[in-house]
Amino acid sequence: MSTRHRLRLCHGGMEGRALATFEMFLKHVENFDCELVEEAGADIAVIDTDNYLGPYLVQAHRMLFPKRPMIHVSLKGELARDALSVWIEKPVSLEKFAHGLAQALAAGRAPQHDAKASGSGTDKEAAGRRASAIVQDQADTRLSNLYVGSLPDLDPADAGMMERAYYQPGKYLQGIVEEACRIAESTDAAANIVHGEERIMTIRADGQAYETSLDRRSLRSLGLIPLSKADFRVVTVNTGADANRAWRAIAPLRWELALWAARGRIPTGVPIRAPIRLVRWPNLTRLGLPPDAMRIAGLWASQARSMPETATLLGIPQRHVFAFFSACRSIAAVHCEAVPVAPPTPATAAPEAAPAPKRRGLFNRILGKLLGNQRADTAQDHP
Amino acid sequence: MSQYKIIFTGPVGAGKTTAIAALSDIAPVSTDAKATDMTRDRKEKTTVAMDYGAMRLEDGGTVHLYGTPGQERFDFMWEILTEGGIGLVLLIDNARENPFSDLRFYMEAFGKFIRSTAVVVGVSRFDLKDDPTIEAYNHRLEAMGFPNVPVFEVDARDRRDISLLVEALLSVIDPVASA
Repeated sequence: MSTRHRLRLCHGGMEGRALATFEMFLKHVENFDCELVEEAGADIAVIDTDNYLGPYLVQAHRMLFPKRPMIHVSLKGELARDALSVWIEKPVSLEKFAHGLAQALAAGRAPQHDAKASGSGTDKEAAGRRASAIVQDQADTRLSNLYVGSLPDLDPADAGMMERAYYQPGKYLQGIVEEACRIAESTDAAANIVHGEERIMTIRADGQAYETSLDRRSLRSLGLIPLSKADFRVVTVNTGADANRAWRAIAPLRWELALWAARGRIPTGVPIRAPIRLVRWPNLTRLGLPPDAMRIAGLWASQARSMPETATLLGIPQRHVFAFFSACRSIAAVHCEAVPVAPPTPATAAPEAAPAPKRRGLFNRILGKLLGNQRADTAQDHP
Repeated sequence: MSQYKIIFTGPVGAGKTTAIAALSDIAPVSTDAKATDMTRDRKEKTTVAMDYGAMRLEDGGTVHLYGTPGQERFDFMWEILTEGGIGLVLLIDNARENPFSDLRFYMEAFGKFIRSTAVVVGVSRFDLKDDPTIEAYNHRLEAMGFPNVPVFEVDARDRRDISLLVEALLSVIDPVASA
């Protein structure tokens, strides 16, 4: 009777040849049947921290998965670790790795799956649910709190409390990219964003496109956490270097960086009571979609409403509204009107030209059909 | 039981038949025939009367999905098709020679219906031709007197894209409705 345990691992800081080698390595680890999965469904994260992105990958992963055991693998030395993290020094032997897995399991009391028992209905169902959650996570970000964080609803009348709703874009990659775009446009020269000696990305001279060799997860890691501006600089480069680059439109990047940085908050300086109007619909089939984006857009397209009013009127958490606002603002798709001097319209008031209840019921049912059971089945273990 | 309909329109080859098939719970009914006129340059078969699909709701109600024939000579059917409709999904083929001309034609042809309901625009075949841009569509619609119309890039074969279009349509009509 085998006592091997089945473990789902996700990885960070590895790609190409290193990742292929790691996959082969995993097949030989004693006592564990290790499988590489998407990060939403992993039991343990294994992150190679030798890359300059290592610290960012670790921090971002911890932000998204606060309860997940993590293994740091490095040659250069140990990063700061929390109680759920284990460090394995390179070169990593099979024995060291198996020991590290056992330590990580003990640290996190991660679910252990007996390989013999993994065929049971319960495990199969759980695996199915998890796999389905992963697919959904990739297909529809509206199901996770990746873009909206977990900020509770706040009282707009309480200025102290409302401070929690704000973030400073300048402290995130969002702000660095915005600055690089400004520099590129004003100097009519491409601008590189550089970390140490490493180029993070290049902004085209017109500020409308970018090029990067970073994968999406690395970009996300940099986008999620506050950065030390001293570690990054923007330098203009000869526009001759523009030729043959794989330029991509900047708007979807700005949109996503805003969502990552905001995580359900709004940029500092935005008056919370200002009525918001949608200037134009973002191309929502090709952008990361925070929860309730369509309904908020529909409301703001027809009438300007403040963010707290919008949340009340639509019956949704404020953080969904804040996230959508921050993303729209990053691509100038919304306009903040002047804060009204008179008391704001009661948030419970029905919107203008509200359709008959019968039709609203129909729309609810059609939306329910389009979204399937996704909303009711929102995965709890999503980032 | 509730019986409502959503109308899909647009030029030949924009993806109306495919989009309805992507959403429909029944095998879509299509009245395709071999193309014999100028549309044969676009595709071998074309819809000569209409496409029909249906979304069955949990309470037993049905949302009927009607696709208009793309050929202009069948435009006498459009008024009949739109009767009782809750909104219009306009699909534009970005790879056609003059997509803005198509946009104007359909927005004007369905103008009365649009002004009493709502419209969303899905721009297909962006992979073949990415000009005009979505932003350019926004500007053009505004200039035509239709500000703030949702315009999304779509792949008509992708159920998610078409679902989002319909979701946007419903959000324009009544954002307070929720699933």
